[in-house]
Amino acid sequence: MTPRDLFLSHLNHIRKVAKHAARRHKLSTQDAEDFVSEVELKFLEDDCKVIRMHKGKSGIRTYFNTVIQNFLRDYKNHLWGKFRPSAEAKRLGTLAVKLDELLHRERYTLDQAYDLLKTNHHIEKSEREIRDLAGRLPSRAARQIDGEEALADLSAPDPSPEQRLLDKERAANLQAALQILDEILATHSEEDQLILQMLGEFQVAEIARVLGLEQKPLYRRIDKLKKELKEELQRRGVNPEDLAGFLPPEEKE
Amino acid sequence: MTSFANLHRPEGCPDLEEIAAFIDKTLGPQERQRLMRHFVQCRDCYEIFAGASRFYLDSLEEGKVVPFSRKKAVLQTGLAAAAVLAVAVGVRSYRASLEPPISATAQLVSPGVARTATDFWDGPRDRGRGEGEKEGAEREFSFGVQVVNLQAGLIAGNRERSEDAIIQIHRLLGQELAVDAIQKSYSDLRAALWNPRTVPQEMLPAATQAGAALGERLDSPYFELGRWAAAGFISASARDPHFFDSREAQRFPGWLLRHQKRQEDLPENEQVEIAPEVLDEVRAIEQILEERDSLEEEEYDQLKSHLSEVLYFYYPYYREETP
Repeated sequence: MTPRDLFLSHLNHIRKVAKHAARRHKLSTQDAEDFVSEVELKFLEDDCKVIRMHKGKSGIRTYFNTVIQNFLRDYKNHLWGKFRPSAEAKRLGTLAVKLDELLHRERYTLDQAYDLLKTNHHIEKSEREIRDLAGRLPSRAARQIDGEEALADLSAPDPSPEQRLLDKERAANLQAALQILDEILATHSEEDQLILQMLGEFQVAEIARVLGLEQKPLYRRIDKLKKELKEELQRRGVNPEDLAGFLPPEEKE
Repeated sequence: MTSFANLHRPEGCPDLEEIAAFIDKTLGPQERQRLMRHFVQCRDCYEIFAGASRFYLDSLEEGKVVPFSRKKAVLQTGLAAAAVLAVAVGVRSYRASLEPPISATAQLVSPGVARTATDFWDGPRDRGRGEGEKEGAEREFSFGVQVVNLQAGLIAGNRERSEDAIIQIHRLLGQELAVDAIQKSYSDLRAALWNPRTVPQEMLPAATQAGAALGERLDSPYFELGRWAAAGFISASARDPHFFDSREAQRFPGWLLRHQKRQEDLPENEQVEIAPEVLDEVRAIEQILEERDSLEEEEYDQLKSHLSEVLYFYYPYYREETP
């Protein structure tokens, strides 16, 4: 079977995966259609180079899925430019960076971003505080957020000198706390770190399947990891609540 | 629109196929560890991994609709379809003119070998060595080996090993889309493996039937030889007489030699030739089994040695990976 035959025989799968990936990443209908067409062309390009690159280390479908995810990442960068957190978000601290990412990279509406921070990341801030924070983030020309009018009643983006000083101090404290968090995480195995990273995005059962782990012991392992993490933070003088949004969230519902 | 995608990966980032292999769990432990370390540090690669994993999970869900007790019925329907398909495409048939070799539904590996089965898998399970690229005799032989690997994995209650065998079978099937029903039956088995309520040993009948359908479809002496050699090697390694005591296993060498003899009467383009070196090994095994009523340590070692030569021949990676 030639690479082209292989492409044709998997065309329905390729289209389906490309379409779902585009939908999952909130591409507009038009962009999603363009993306699916571009993916097909990419597979055929250079005498099906992408298919010829497959050496049989993985299943062909898994490989196609991975290739399509890579195409999507590049396509998003092509459409909107590569996302980097704004300098202002960095200055405002890690919660602002997360919010910047949700609003401007993941293209969630402000309401959705607030819900995600609250549900998945256990941020205890009020909706008003999140709106205030979003108001201080610089707007990005390329973003197309549904319901952008929701941002209309945000506070003025120019904070007072006192507020700036406070923000600067808070950012420095958070930065130090995050440094400690990184140090603690680095003492855990790669697998533990990856598990913690996947929480919030995947259910525990899903993590077990993806990483090939037994599900039941994984629940206990995660509970133990979270407990150790919090205890170690406290031992080193960091209030875990100050790092809400950057600690492993509870299992995704 | 200008080109948006670049197949070249940033320096230090894993290949896309490596990420896919991580998801398929076909990487060795060190490679897995390296990728996990990378995913934690590289947001871009983690995003690709997470997105592709989502589709992997979706594919598992697609195959996990029915509980296992009902899955057998579904499997059988699928296998029946595969059998019809095999007849419809009119593949060559050697069974019609010769006595059957080892029964397609025989359970080749006895529970007694489960304890030592891992000694065998560490050789020929062929992690990441391009099952999808194999063709002809080597491919058909590999199918036979993996069918036995799966059977032994289920007997041992080892989900990872069993899944590994299924992944290899899927790879081998990868380019043969006419056998979708068989692919589906193995997908069902893989999904059932992930159901914590499923007892691997209870999946044996379904796995055996899937293997039988595969054998029916391939209709190949290499497939039968792969099954026989793999099961024999595992049994010899475990000093387990069950397989060698079976009448079918004992008759297999004679069947294979007669099969080869008959090839001489066929036109050259229809001949299916077993390599002379392999036939020599098979003759030696036949002699051991004929001469001895019961097998002692020495005979087990001789059998293991001859069978490993057969495996080496059609499964060359095995030699590379075996110390």
